[in-house]
Amino acid sequence: MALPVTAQMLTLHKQLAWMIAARNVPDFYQSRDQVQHLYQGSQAIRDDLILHKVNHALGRNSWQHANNLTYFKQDFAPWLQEHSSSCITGLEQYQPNFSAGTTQAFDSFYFRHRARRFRCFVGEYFYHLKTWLSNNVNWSFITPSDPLVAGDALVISAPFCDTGSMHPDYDSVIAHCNRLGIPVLVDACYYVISGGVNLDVTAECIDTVAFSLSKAFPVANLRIGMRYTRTAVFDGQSLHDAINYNNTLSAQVGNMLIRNYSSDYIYNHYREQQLEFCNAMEIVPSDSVLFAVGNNNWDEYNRSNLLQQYQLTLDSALFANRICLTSVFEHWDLFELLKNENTITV
Amino acid sequence: MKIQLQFKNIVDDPRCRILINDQVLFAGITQPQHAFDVDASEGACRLTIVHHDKAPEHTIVENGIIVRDRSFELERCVIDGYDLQELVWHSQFVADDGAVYNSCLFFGPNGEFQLDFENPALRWILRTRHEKNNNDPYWAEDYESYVRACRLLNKSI
Repeated sequence: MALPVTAQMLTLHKQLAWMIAARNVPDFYQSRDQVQHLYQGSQAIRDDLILHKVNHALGRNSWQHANNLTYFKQDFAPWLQEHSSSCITGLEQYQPNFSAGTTQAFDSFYFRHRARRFRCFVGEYFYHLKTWLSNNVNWSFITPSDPLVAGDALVISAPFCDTGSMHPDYDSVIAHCNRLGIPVLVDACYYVISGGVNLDVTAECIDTVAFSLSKAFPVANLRIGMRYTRTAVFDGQSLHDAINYNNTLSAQVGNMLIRNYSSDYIYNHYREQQLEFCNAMEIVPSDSVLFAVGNNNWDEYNRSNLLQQYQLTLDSALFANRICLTSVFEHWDLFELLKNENTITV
Repeated sequence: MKIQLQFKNIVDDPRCRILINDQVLFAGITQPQHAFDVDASEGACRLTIVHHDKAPEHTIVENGIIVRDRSFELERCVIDGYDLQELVWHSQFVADDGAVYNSCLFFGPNGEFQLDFENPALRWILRTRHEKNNNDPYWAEDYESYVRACRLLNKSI
């Protein structure tokens, strides 16, 4: 696959962003605003067929069925395990609870371990940082000079939020936490958009494993997720789960999605396009199919806008240039058109 | 080029002529809204709005105070979908008696309002705003990217 490197190519991603934006919105100013944010965030692909199915499920008016929650809880783990290229080891050791996305699981974890110092790697999901900072919670990033110690509680995303691939130190960090009795929350919200991931959650220190459908399917506003905790945990979220006091409408849509689409559907459906785009742009494909990691040419798409949105005063240079490919997949015809215009061969 | 003009406070059916360069787009009684699709070549353009046929009897004065006056005001000027907003003040009103009023959107005396700009208007708007505020250093690059994108999409700018 020949890939001629030209000066024009260096700005191909920018030109594509302008085309997508100009198609989406009516004028220059709105286009420019969209261009600035186009490769950021981590939103699911708005696939027309999936959206149609979601709307159809919502129109069925069967949200009152309490069984929606039971079925979702019962079918979710087997659905996860059917992934053709990834696997999770040890999930059977946990009890499932419905969760309003992964976020409810985070909040429950923060509260249960509120006496501890919270820890995460640089690049972790900004929600944690925002919650800790705005509530004067004791927390700090894990650094060589400030390592994990007894008394800490760790939040780690797997695959890792900063890159969409597993954190290179995941196994050693979990082993370290196990030795020191540090409770761990594994945020696995990218698992269902990833491939080739081996996620081991057998270590006793892992207290919570959280999943969401928000990254795989365009249902983020329905807050569909699952939390897995050790059996000894019976907190407010467990209580709500036990008495079916959860969102049956979300569970209904969740059931429809996991019955119609396998847990590797998004990964398998878009993986080839992800690789083609990354090859053309000379960026590194992530294990999460929605992402790639860009070099300095992509600095303008770093997370400075997101930091601003979260009102966080952190240096954006601390984070990888994680490129979100959702808009590219949604407008693949434009990438093809531009590719031909620039005579790129991939 | 598409031009939309919006006038307010229109009193006593004032007459106007609206021109782009030498091309007359409208002549008659001023309306609240005017919209035109103009065939204009690239480059310098002048929007002229001529207020005419106002006679002394159209100004009623009682006890030294004007109580009624044929007049109107330009409220909004949109070119190719872009509201000129503050740039509309980069204009002048030249009264028939030779007096020149800068940044005057009020059509009281007979005379003409003149706004110089360029076609394509978007390019002129971006450049002028940057020249004035020095806050948009990448305007030219962004404009070129947008134009190219629109061309590839067969979309008007």
